[in-house]
Amino acid sequence: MSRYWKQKEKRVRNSLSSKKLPSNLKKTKKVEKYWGEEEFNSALSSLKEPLNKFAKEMERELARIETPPLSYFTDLVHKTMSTTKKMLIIETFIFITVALAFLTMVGYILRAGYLLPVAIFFETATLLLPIVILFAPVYRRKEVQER
Amino acid sequence: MKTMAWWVYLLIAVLIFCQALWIFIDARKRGENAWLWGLLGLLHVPSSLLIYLLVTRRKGKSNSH
Repeated sequence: MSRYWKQKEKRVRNSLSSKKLPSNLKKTKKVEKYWGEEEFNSALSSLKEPLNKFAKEMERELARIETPPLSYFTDLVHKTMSTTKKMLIIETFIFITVALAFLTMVGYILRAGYLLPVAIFFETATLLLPIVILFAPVYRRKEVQER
Repeated sequence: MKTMAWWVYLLIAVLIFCQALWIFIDARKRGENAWLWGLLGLLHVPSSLLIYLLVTRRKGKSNSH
């Protein structure tokens, strides 16, 4: 906050606190209305001019900044979509590699004659994996909708 | 003990692989834990697929209500 605004706020606060309540008004809704309307209007009127000045200044600053053309935004969207697609394809390939490696490993172990360890592993995984799936936090990410 | 023919193993492996891949892709589309579901799909055929379909479709129905 700038120094000017701080001083302005202080002045408004002082004017609000210095105002005495009329004796016939107690702390009721009536009082709140009395304070609210009058003081708010006076504070607002004093703030109106600098606020307008500030708004005009902001407008001038914003007008100076060049907005990129629509093609820039469409390019940005297309780029993001293509990157997401690439990532999904890479992820699928990684899964395929993992699956093939897993199946090859199981086949190799079975051929070596370790049926019981493989069976125990499968049963344990079958028991535990659904529990993990149920309790693992779901990372919700929908695929980018293709047109 | 009579052992199975080699092509039966291969068939089971192909089935398991296709099932796991489909589950993985579908789970990712639905925003589920794709890797965990995919790994579950690598364990059995077709019980994993049935469990996956039961769980996700029921969840989808309850979400739409």
